[in-house]
Amino acid sequence: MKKALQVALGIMAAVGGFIEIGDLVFLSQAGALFGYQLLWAVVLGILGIGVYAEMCGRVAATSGRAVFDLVRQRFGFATGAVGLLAGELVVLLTLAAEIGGVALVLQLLLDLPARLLIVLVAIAFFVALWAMSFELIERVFGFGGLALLVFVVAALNLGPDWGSAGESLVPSWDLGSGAQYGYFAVGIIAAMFMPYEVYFYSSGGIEEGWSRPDLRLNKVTVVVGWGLGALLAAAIMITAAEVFRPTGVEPELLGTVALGAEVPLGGAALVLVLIGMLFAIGGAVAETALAGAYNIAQFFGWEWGKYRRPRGAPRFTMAWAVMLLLGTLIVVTGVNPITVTEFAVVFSVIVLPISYLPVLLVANDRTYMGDAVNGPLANVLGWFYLALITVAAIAAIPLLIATNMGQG
Amino acid sequence: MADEPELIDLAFMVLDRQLVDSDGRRCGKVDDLDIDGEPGGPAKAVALVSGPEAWRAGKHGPIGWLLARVFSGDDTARVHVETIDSLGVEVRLKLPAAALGLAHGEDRGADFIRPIPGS
Repeated sequence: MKKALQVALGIMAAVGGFIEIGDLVFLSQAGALFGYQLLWAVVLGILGIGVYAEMCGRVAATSGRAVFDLVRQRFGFATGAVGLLAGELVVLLTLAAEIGGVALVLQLLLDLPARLLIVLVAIAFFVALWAMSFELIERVFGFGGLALLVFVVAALNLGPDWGSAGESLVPSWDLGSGAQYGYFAVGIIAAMFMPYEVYFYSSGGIEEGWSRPDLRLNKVTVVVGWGLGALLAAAIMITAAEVFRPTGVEPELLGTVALGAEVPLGGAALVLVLIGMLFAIGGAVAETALAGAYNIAQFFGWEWGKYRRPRGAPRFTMAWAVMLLLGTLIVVTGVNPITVTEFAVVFSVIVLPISYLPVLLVANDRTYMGDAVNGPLANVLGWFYLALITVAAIAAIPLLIATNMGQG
Repeated sequence: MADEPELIDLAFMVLDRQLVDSDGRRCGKVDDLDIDGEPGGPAKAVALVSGPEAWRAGKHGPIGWLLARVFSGDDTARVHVETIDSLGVEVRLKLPAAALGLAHGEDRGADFIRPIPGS
């Protein structure tokens, strides 16, 4: 029973973090613009985050080290600190986008002023993170986010063209759309590969006291959690492709994204999607705020962990509270959360190699890992994805500029 | 010359590693080593240095200087090597952090948040 509950860690990371505002925005827009054509980017991105997360979980279970502990050890203070600052900036942008996203969903449900809702969301998350244990956060948001599975039902109900979907799993290039296609391909891979998810996952493994006997649990968690993420991500893109593409609608608002499920299934599906979004994006608020605090604490060697009472890890507690405050201040200025999301996703892929490389090096280090060191498959995939995210990091800014953030 | 490789190994084994006190609490990182010895003679590590003074020591550039300014309220501690209990992926110490002058920032932080209900 305990093991089954522990799998919830992966489910939350997949639903509460994986399917967050960035995924909803990029997947829906890509589906509306290109139909199924970019399904390959979903698969490539999800396999990549699975490879990265599995290595992080294995390193955490074997050595008790989380990501920014490894960044500091492998890169030293100065280079590691640059990586920390860049990583924290992206986590903060993501957090701001997620807070704004929760407020947007609440606005659809309650019709209250946006700024009031943003402040209420921030207060609610401060209280929740202060009072709730790691396990409770994991279960509440993880299982609440499962309501988004209604997108899977919607996609099946729309009768997708399976042949075309199958063909789209092979990487291709849309010559007619050029840079815009490239922007969404990089955006989808980046949205699938958001680094905060792995910061949270690896720290969560240590929160839950993983050790060598939990290596199998780590694999199961990654396969189940990320498998669910893949299913949902594909369903969101297919729904958008079937509903919005024929009418030429570009879903630039979360409310429009939710309508994708209402069209085939009716009003109850719309309510379910909005509830799912509330929990999934809310889960990402919790994950990003905590991930920001985990990173700082691990880099400087502070006591950290939700398993401690707030006064037992006070600087860690203050760090997530400050992250929450700063994220709120960004989004309460009135900046569009969807715009913040797009910047957060694009910049996340730029900083990704900094936190990816130390994990790959340590996972290959037998003095750290013993017999849990990377096998040939993990190594091939690990180095392939380092090359891929490096190329994506180099291409991200030029594509952002060339396409005016995907506008073509 | 025979001591040189040993010194390099020691630096690799302890620099930037997590410090954990005798109560099992994380209490900082090994930011530097105090080395005793004359040029050309044998060198010996006498203490682990943990805290912002070590960041601004010149070898970490502007980022070290900036972070040392941000955390200037934190104390810098020198932990004698004889208080090391074990060296591994983390450095375990024989005494509580407070007795070694480590993690004062945690105590100040705890004082700050203690008045909040549920702390």
